[in-house]
Amino acid sequence: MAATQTMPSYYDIDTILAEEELIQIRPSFPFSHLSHLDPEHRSRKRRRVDKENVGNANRGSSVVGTAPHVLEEGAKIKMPMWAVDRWVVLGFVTVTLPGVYGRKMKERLQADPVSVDLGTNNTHYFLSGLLLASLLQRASQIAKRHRSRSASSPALQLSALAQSLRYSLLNAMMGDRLRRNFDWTLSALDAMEDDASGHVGRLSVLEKLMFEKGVESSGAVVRWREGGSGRIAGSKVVVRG
Amino acid sequence: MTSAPPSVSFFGNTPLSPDRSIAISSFLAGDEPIAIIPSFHHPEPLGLISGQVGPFRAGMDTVVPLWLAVMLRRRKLAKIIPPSWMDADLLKEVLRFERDPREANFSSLLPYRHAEIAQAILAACRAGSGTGASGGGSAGDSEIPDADRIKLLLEDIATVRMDKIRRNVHTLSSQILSRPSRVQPIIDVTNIGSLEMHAVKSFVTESFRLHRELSGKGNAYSQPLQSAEGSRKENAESRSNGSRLDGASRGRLRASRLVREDDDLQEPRPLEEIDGDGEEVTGHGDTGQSRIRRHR
Amino acid sequence: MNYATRARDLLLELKSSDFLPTYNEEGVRAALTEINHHTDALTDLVRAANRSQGNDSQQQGIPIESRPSMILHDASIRRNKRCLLAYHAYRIDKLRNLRWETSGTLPSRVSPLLCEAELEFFRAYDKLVANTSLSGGTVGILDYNADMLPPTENFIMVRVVEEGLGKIETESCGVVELEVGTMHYLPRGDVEGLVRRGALVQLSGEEC
Repeated sequence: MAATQTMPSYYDIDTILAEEELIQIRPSFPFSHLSHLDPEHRSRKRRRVDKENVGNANRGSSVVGTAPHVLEEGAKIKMPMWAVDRWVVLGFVTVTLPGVYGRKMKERLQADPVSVDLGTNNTHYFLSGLLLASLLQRASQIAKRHRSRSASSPALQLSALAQSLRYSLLNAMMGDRLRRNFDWTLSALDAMEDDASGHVGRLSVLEKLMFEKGVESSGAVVRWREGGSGRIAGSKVVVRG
Repeated sequence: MTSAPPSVSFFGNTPLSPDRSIAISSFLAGDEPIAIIPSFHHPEPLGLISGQVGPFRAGMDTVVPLWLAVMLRRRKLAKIIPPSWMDADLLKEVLRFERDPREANFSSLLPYRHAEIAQAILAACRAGSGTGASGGGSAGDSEIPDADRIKLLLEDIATVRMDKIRRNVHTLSSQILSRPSRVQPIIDVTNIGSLEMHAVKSFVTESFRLHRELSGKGNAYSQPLQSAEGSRKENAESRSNGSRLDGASRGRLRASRLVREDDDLQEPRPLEEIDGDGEEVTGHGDTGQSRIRRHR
Repeated sequence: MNYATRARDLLLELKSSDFLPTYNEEGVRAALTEINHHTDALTDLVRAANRSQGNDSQQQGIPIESRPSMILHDASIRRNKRCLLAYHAYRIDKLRNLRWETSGTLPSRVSPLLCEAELEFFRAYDKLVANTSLSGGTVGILDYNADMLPPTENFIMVRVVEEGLGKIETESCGVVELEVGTMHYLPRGDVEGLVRRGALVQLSGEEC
């Protein structure tokens, strides 16, 4: 897999988990063998699917031509971002952005960015959004390449959607939230333990990463001022154990 | 580069921990030239890796690297002549400058590693003079009579300057970072001290990195498709006369690529991807094209 | 859809642990099994598609309706693979850092967390580093383990906190008996490893 090595975040756990974000899609044409993805369809066949595991369920239905289990065109289904990545890129499906990236959240983040809690339910808010924007961008590039110039509007739409998603994320992340976060990294060591944890609890993973890096640095400065650099630190793993 | 989130790290490209960077920085501060007054005789100059020091004559001042000065001072073989900026009046002036809200920069009177140098000198002088009566009567023979005041002033300056950095970052965040911009964000830190830099570096570089990604200029979170975009665009362009795939051909996969079951299952790849696989097409452009043509 | 959930759970385990979770052999095997299922399913789909292509000479290639499911199986295989690689890379990474932190000793609470291959990796990596350190070249012996930070003093004050260390031989202070609770003023290089693995504690204060 030579290609994936160019992607620095291939091994990054947070990125992988952020790709679990559920996205609502609608097939642009009937998908064979995938009826089990549609929850309404599944309820009818639940017994059968439950009995068989993933592989067999598909194998059982894999004879083309004899009424494969079709996922209907336009059926609303929610799937993780990683699973629909190629479909979106190839234009097999139309995408609806997850609700959290909608107007309501945007307004909340604009009105009072600092108090919005992204640590509990939306830990991957910025990271998933970033990945989603990149997915839409790629889809738009492919669409541009394969449709005639006159009818390039889907490409433009996708690109515009990616752009506006990026910008709203940028706006929400780099403003008040960043400033507050920066202040905390400088003062977290003096402040009461509880206060900092309240702040950290509202951060998304990317922000938490910044916070941790910042605290590590300012902590290093404090340690240096107190004890110089001659101290040998015991291994953290050993000390904790 | 510390920018990428942890992929697999190896010894050598693991980003330096801040503890280590600061330790290295204060080690490097040991090379700063410092004047001393030795109390011993050593007529021959010493050849060190960094250059010659000496000769040493009792009572005659000479310039040596800070680490040597500190070592000699601790053994009471020399007195340190503190650098000119380690002076209470001058530091007061610096503090006034740093407090002035009109000055966006940092005072140019302090050297880059002032915190490290000051700490080394103050510690050495305290340790040497305090051996007899460690209580407080050390001021008598110390070469820095108002060491405590200097220490306090330096601490005040550090606090004020950190706050200045904090405000600069805030300005940066509200003016540039939170909007998409064509220009890279810039933060002016002329005359910043090395310690101050280490304190904020990782946070600021991390936010710059995310700003880059969110402006759509980064590639840490996008798939290879985008990173190889340039070369592919060219290819798509060069083939554009008639090679654009119409709807019917888009609906087909090349079966020949699919039946290679012994392969590691990278297949099936839809045609668009084969078309779009930068390396493959650029590598053998002709074959890549003909394969696709054959198929239409 | 429950594809690749076991593999994802492996990563969640990593996230919720402060060092490393116990190696989850069952989870790894489940992910591998799922990859096999997807492979089988994919192979079947491809065979079926080829067969129908043979019957119907008009139709070339695979019909577009069948492509999404193939892509989905492919994506699941890649997803599982990526999770597995990330899981192991993360653990190996931690072990590699640990080697430098403790200069080669595997803390007793860590070893039960590892699988056989990881233990072997740690030993082999340690050996590799040790060999490299000692080969030295013309300058002499270069010990990568000494002085992880630039030293400021040659001697340091330490207190013994671990039992049963016995005696150590130092370069300039002869043989020293390290009994629990005793304090010693020793050459830094001789005790750095012991401090880092937590057997001794360095005492701060202005000395020299």
